[in-house]
Amino acid sequence: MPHCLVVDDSKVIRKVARHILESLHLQVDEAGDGREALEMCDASMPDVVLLDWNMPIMSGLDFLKELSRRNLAHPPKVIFCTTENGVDYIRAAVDAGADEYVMKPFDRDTLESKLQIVGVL
Amino acid sequence: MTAAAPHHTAEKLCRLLSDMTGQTVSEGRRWRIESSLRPLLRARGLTSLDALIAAIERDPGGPLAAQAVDAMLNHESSFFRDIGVFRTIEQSVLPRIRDAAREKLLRIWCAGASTGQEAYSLAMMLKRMGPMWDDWRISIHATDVSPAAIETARRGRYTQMDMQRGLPINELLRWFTAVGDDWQLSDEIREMVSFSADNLLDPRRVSGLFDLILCRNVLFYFPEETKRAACARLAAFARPGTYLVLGAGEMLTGLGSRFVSCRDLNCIYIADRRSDPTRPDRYASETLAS
Repeated sequence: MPHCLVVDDSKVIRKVARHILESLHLQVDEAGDGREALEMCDASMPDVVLLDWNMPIMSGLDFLKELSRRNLAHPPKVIFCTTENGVDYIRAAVDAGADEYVMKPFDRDTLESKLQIVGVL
Repeated sequence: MTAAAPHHTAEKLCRLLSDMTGQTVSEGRRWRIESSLRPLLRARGLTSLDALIAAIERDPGGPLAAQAVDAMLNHESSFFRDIGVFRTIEQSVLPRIRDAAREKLLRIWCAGASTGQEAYSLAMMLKRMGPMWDDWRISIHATDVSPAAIETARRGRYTQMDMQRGLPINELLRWFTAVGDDWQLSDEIREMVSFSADNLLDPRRVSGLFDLILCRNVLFYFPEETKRAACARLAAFARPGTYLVLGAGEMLTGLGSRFVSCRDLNCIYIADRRSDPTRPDRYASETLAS
């Protein structure tokens, strides 16, 4: 069962994402900011990270840069999931190493298709 | 208005849909009729489906009938829908077509193309495949029974939700421009695809033979006899070795089709190589008669 870490400072978003991801047969863990997400990755690396952009303590982009510095042999797939939907944001995320990008609001079809694109489903 | 359409009302609307498109609505999906027609009722100031039927009967050949039929059609589509099928097309089908080709001409038909995402996905895929198609003439023709869907397809402008479903982010960055809340597809991709509003059962603006035909999630809506006719139409535009892609779960078993399943490729069929490639129309009558 693929393991997904949902990183978002909104409990509601995490709950919605968990509901959808579990219906797609993923094992789900949650983190409320980038720093907590890094600690959880260091303890147990997920297959995929669903990552918000704007969060307290450590943003999604900073989390991604920190993750890249670890030079992992098998890094998790990273799907940004954010309200930032401008081309500049999308390009910055891809340049930083994001594999996919979801613009909120999202639904089950959206998450399923993105997980298929990155090869997790 | 939230209740499902009464049986006799649904029956009349299903008959209208069948007469104009050949499609049927199964008992299990009739609940969708009322919800799909609700926007049209509101726009026309009609208070019920019976009022809609009465208005159509007063002007049988008028635009309201076409609008009602259009509203009842399923326009569900997405970029790279069923991505596994697109990977198969990219990694297996297109290379086989290329290897077997006698001239550098690739002709693709998307039958039941809805709002264009499938045809444009193929165009983006061919671009991504790079130099191997550089000196080829490529023609992608896309048809749908709905003129409104074809008009949307021609515009190549999609909502954020459309973009989210199936479109890899690198393809978005490469081929789309943000326009307000929507996204506009580049002319370079749009110009690779031609469109026409055509019924699969009578595709008047489709001509010639194709190397690859996609007809996904279309046969599903036809009753058995109409499926046979539709298969005959597809066969009429195929040469021996033409690949046919159907939707997941759609099969040609028992339809007398000249397409046979590619055992190593899911959802993919190939026109019988033993068939005579001349006079494609002959296949239509043969299959219809079989």
